[in-house]
Amino acid sequence: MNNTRFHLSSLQFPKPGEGQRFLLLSILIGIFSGLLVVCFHIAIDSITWYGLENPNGRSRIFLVALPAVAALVAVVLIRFWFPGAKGSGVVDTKAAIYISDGHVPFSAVFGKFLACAISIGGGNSLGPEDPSLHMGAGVASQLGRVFHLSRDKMRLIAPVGAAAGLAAAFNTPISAVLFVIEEIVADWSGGVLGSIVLAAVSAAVVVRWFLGGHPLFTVPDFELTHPSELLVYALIGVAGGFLSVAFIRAIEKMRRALARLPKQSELFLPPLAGLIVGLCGIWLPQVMGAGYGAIDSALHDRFAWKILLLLAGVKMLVTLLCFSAKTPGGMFAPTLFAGAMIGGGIGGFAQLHWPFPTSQTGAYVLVGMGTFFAGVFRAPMTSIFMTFEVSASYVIILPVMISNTIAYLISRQLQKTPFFTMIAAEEGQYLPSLEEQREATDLRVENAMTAPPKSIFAATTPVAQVLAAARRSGFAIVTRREGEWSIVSAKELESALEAGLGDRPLSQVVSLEPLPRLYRDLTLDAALKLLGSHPFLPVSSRRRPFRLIGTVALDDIHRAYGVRPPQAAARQQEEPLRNTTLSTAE
Amino acid sequence: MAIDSSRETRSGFGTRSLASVFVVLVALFGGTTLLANWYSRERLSRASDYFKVGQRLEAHNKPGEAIEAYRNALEISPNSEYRLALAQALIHSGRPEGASAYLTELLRSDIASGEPNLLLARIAAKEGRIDAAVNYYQRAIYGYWPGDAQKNRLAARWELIGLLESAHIQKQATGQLLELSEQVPGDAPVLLKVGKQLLANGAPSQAAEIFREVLKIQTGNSEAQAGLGEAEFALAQYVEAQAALRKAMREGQNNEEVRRAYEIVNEVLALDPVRQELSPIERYRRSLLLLEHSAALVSACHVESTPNTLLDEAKQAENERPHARDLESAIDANIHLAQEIYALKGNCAQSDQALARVFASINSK
Repeated sequence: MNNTRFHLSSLQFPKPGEGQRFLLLSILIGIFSGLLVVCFHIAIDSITWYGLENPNGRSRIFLVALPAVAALVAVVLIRFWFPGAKGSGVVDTKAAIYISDGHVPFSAVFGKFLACAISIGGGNSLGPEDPSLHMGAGVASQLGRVFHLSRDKMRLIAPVGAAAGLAAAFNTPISAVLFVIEEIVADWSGGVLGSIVLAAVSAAVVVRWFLGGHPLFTVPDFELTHPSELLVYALIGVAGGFLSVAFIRAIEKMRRALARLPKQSELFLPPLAGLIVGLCGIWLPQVMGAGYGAIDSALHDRFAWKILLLLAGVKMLVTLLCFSAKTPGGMFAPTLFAGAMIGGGIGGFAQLHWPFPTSQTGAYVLVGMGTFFAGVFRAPMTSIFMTFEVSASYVIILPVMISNTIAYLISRQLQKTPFFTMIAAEEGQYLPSLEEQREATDLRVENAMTAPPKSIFAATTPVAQVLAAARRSGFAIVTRREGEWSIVSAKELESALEAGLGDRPLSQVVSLEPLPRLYRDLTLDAALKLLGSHPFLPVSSRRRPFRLIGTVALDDIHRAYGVRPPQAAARQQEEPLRNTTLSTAE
Repeated sequence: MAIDSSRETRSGFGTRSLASVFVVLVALFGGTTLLANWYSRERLSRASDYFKVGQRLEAHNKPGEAIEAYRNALEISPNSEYRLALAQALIHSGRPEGASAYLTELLRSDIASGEPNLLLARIAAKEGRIDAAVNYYQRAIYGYWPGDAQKNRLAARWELIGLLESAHIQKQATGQLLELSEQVPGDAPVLLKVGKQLLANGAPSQAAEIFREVLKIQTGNSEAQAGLGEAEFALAQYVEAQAALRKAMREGQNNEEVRRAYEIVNEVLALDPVRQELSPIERYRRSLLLLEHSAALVSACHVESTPNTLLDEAKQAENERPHARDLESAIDANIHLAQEIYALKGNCAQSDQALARVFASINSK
């Protein structure tokens, strides 16, 4: 009876592997990041409400002074208490992957939270997404440390947190995943992608739970009224591309110029930039803070095209000042703002002068929003999907693809260094540019392969006959059946000959191990892994795999990479020595 | 900074680590909940403050500032009431294109909401998009209204009828009027209005029905009586028209239109030679009268090309004294001649409504 009694302890639960634990941890990261970003959002809004906005109005002096005071407080916090929170969130997250094995100091999370909430809430022209991304990475890194993740997993944890932070800030999980993949990790492998998606989704769910499910912008319905309108969208892409290049260059020059100032100026430049923001805010209060309210208004046809272009210009100017002065905050929101206003301005102008029917200004605002983003950050997929995600409109996808791709191509053509690579270099970190990594051309087997040997022997060929050919190159290729090639060395054949087996067929004398087969499109990296101890490998056609089209040896790969093969190098080293000996003898 | 590789060996979700993370998570969740609740209350309160400021400014005829206040309210708390107020303020300040985006958003959350549909219908009508306007009006009529739904639906339908009439889509307007009459079965004033509108739209039989319905509710309604008279008159039912108009006049409806209609009805009834109840002699007398009136009208119109033979024939017919057995053929001949003479009138501005109606009555028989 006792034997049949059920014991709970006797149940054997399968132990989760590290991969599964990592996925579970990704959900936890998403929840933590989501909660933190909710608090961050509330902090920014509360500071803005009590500082800048009042239903019954605020005095002008207060409006002008607040951004400056907020910037001063924020920069003091970072300078004296949270130095780890200094700098761009994207750059620091990348640095965590490539430099510090996924380590992001937790103090950076607090620092970013406090300094950026004060700075952005106080009206400085910067956005909360980059700090949210950094906070997410910091939370993830901390959790990774708590759970003693392996070094490999620790390197992956920061981008997982970054995706969660960004998803929570934008309330757009798809764009967050794409941005992290496009800009931070450049890895589409299942494990990483799964974790990033889980974290982003959990963070977005938490934000929607607390702050409601409404999207960042309420986008009016619209439709493509005439095919010629696509030209207007293309024009927005061109303008966005050129202006984004001008904007990046201005930032580069301004930051370089400011870097030459004494170190103490770091404390005074952000308040000065804040003061200029406050002054601009007297006439154009829309340029203060992240500016999402103004984008929403522009989407609803609030501004005339001239005002939209003016807002774009002033926003670019004040963002340039704030970002160059290193006021805490991110660049995402300002780029969306500037792009939206550029798009709206061009669209509004087209409405008046375009000979064919055009859409409402809101459509151009929406398309422009992603365009400038694509130009500045060179993340075209993110910008396209972000616009799609915030608009929930399938009709918008065609204009968005056109304008964003044009802006991206112009920016890539005219601005050699991508934005985050430039910022990282300024901060003294030489991080890999993922755009360059993506676009780097891999050498393939076809770049290294040589023509196949003239004679390929059947396995039934007598040893003596094969030896004559093998003596020339040291090896001979033998085929036992169609599409299966093996190698025999001249040494093996000579031994067989010495043993009096010269007239025997090869298959009876030597063991014919089939060689792994290469294809011309395989990368040389993959070929190297297969090459192993074989002196060379056969290359066949994918269409006709039984046909030998070439061979690849280690020396061929060396040559393809432009490296002198070791034997040739040794010969060259011996050559001058021999010449010297000869000349001495003479 | 670098993670020790020895960590790999003790990697895992230890119970203590899990417990501590769980505690922190619960604390953070609790704190965020409290903060979010406060934030939500504060947001609603601030949005409401802006909304009240907007209403005050609108009442003080400052639409521009009111719009700003409504925008702020909406930015803080995306709420249907604020969105609608903003849209209305934009319409009042002459910026309907800005309002339509907000109204469309309202419909996205509740497509059957009456007021946004009505406002969008007005915007579409103003922009000349009649089909879209009709659609929005229909949705407003059958939509949801928070206040006095019946009153709002009626008002929306009246607007739709006005639009259809101004766009000369009479058939649809008539349909709407009939639907409206079914919507208010016992409401005499509304039914009276519907009847008049139907009459104006050229639907006299439906109008007559409606007027009869009104008279069932209010027997002494002289307006309905007059309306019924006019409807019967339009339907060429002159005897019924005469009775109704007479009654209406007796009950105080003495306006020019009623009097004129009554005069014409009397004249038609006095001229019509084909009424069955009349004796052949009376019909013959009336056929001569018809001939006389037609000849007089053509003379008044100064029709130069009038063939003298026709007028001579008319004079001759007037002087003839046919035998009793030839009376029917004489009547027919006179009517035929009168029609031929009347046809010579062409586009002459001079008209005789009674004469025209008599000929119409003859032709219909």
